[in-house]
Amino acid sequence: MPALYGGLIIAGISAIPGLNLINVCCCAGILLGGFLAVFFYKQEITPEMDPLTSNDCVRLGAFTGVIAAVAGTVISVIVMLVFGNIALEMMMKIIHRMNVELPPNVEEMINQGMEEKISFFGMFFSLFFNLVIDVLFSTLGGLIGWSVFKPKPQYPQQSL
Amino acid sequence: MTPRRILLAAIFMWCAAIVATPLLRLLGGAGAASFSYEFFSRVCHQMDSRSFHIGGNKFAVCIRCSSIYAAFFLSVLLSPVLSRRVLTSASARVLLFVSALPMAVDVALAAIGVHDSTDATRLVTGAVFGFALGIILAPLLEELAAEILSRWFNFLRTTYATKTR
Repeated sequence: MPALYGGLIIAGISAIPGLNLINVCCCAGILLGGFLAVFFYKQEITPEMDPLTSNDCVRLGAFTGVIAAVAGTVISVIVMLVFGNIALEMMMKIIHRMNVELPPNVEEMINQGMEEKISFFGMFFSLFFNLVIDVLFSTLGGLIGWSVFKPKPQYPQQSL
Repeated sequence: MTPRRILLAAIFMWCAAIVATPLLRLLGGAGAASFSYEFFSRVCHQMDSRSFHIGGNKFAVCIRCSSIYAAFFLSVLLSPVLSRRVLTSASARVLLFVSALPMAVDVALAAIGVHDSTDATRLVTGAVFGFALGIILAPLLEELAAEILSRWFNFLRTTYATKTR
């Protein structure tokens, strides 16, 4: 479940236009997802269970990345089908608001991009890229989570 | 090859791919360069005005990201000397917070229009964060690389043993 929560957080951040700008900062959203998965997992640990290990965090991070890649691709396809390429439209609006003059060929390319429909090949490519990036950065997020939430070492008490 | 060398090689390849992308375009490998730009576009905004250039072609990621990765590589390289010393005197949590703070302040102030982030501030704040992240993660990544290697060798050994039986 923690991996599912973390994966869905990453997928939401990555696939929702506007919110996905968080990932522009070196995949901060993906790192955050892996980190949060470890946080959620730590909340579920009871005293009877084995303590958190770095291996757990790596596995959790990687699994979170896989869920995020699949869910993110599905959500972005749904967003594209329902709303069209609103990410590019938003970007064009910002560019026009900033009065930036784009070369005609660039503007034409962007307009073509906005009219493009989803292809199976494009979807497969997107899933592949998402898998590589999400698993890599989410595992790193899991490791950051481990270094932050790792249990403090228990030293044996010296008898006087 | 030791796990540490494999880890260093992997990070070096990631950094090299960032620099190789504009070189590829410059040398006529437009297809490969486009693939690389597309791949790294998942990680970075790749804005032209905020990127280093080689021969008029931008790096695959922006200045801040480039400095994060370069500093990360450097700190993993120096981690045998640095990690234990730094992590015994400061907790990972504090180090992470302190190193991310300048970058967060730079981004936040630029976003609300109080100060204009420059190439220099992006470079320095990114490098500070990347270096600290390397110090925190290097020992863990080395453990991970060792674990993956040992599992891989075990898998190969058992596969070879079942085939020769």
